[in-house]
Amino acid sequence: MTLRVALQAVIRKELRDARRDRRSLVAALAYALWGPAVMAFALFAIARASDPDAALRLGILQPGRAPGGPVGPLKDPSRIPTLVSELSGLPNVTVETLAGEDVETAATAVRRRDVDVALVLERDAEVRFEGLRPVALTLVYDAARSSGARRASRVRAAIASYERGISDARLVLRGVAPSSVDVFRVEERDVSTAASRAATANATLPLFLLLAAFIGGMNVAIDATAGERERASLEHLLVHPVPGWVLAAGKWVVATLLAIVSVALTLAVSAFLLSRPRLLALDLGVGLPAREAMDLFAVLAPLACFATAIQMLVAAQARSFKEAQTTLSMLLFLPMMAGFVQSFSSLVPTFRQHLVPVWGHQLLVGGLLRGERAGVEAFLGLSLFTLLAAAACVAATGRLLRNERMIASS
Amino acid sequence: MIEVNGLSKSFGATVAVNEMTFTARDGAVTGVLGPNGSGKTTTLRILAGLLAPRGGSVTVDGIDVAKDPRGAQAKLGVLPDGAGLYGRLTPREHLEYSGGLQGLRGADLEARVSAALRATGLESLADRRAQGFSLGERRRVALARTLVHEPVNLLLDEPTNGLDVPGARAVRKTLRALAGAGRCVVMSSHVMSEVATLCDQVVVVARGRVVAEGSPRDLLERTGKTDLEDAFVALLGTEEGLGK
Repeated sequence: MTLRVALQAVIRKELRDARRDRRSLVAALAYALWGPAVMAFALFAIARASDPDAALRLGILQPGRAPGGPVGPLKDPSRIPTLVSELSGLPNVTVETLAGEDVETAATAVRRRDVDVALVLERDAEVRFEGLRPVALTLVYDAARSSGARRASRVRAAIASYERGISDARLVLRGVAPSSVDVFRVEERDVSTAASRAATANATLPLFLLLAAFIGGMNVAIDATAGERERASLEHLLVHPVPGWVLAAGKWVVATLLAIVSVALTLAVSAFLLSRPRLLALDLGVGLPAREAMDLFAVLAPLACFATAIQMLVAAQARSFKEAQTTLSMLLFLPMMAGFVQSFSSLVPTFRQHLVPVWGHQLLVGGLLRGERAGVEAFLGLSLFTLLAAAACVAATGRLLRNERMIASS
Repeated sequence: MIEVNGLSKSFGATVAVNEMTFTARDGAVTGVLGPNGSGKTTTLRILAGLLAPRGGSVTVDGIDVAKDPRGAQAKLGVLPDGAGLYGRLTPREHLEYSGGLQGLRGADLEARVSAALRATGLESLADRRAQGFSLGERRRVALARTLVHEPVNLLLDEPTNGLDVPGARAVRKTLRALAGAGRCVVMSSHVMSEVATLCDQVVVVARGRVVAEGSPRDLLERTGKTDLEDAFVALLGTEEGLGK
């Protein structure tokens, strides 16, 4: 009974203190807005760059040809005019002729961004075309620009389509079935779903979500432990007849509450910003229906419990807020490392891996965002282990607070 | 009543408290007097159940502090050195927190908080945040927090430290009243005049040992001095470390 009253007193005090600590509150909650906002900004930039109908300025250069104006039929309208028509007919493509005698001129135009892509025909292209000899075309683009290679591939695809039409016609005229010269006909089939393509584009979202669990309650976790030592209030606290675990548990409840609110807000803001129709249309966004968001929340809530518990245990060993902050910022590498290793290694996730806190959360969150249903056993196992680890950390913090080293060294 | 018997405590090779023995009676103010580093704060921390003794024992109203520190703490009101306040909380909230940790709640808690605020003259500051309080105001809040659960035994580490003259007089009056009401008050102090006027019994400690024990009058008679400060120096046998 007395312990319950004491626990309530700790929770009430820490809640009051945290609510009035505007800087910590803003820092915790701003993250929830900042993370998804930065990501949405990046994705909108990608969307602009990867729009298949994005404007494309194509320069055509043929040595010996006068420049200026829209490109009309080439010298002999009966020979290659349809190539230019084909390119001009692409959505949002503007074709213009470039003055010059060599590829370098076209390269300069691309570098100066006068055009996005340039196509250089050889000087006697019409003659070679008419003589059924291959016509050399040089595609000039800047792959260092985010959309350079993709724009070039649009032009390349259009040329390939035109080339196939001409070559098929030539074969038919000579009595050869076009299919007889095809050794293979490759068809591609992408097995990814819209959700899985979105998750590929949003590989960083799991990291943002995991970090929300670590950042939301961090300041409170520090203030409630290292802060007590720094302001010399720990001794005043420990003279009360309350076991260390009650003090640690009360502080942990409040820090965890903030971490969970931060996770929920990050999820809500992500669901709103990343499900904009423009992003979804390009498979860049993440449609987070309520059910999926709830699943993610259920996975991340125990992580928030663990994150604040381990932060309190680490921070309790620091003598000042600043010292604790330095140590805990290194702890943030934990979710980052899990994300990076899983992204760049070929590790095949096993059931056991799913049971390791942080690592398992990264696996489950990544899977959910790819549209995979998490196994109930993996979810329950991970949550159980995570909550047990959190309880162990809270108990250890309680023991540490009551350790006479904390008083003797103050 | 607090009974200290053969108490010892070391930190590594440093002996902080060495075979210390004394008794603090109910209804009396017992002053622990000693130069810096003599072991006063360590002794009070052991009495408060914050540090475990290496040897000897301490009992608070018969409860062995080493065996049942929480039980002993329930019988104690402890004022450690410094104020240790939370800047974002008001004095009233500090007292509610402390009372809650002592198991108080509801109307009982509310009444005791009001009484403690009144006893320490903090009523006008009761609902202002502690951030920006003067040293004296902070110390008064800390003292009020010590008294909120109306403990039978009080351990006070330099209770008037940082207070102005009226503030210190008010605290001395409060402590005298508490002893008059039958409480056991143990305090450490550097201020000789305070010890002379306030304490019924003085325990003089040096290098972790009790070098003399008795009423201020006893100590004067024993040393043949007329001034307690001179008596204190005589009992220590040296002025080293006294800043004189």
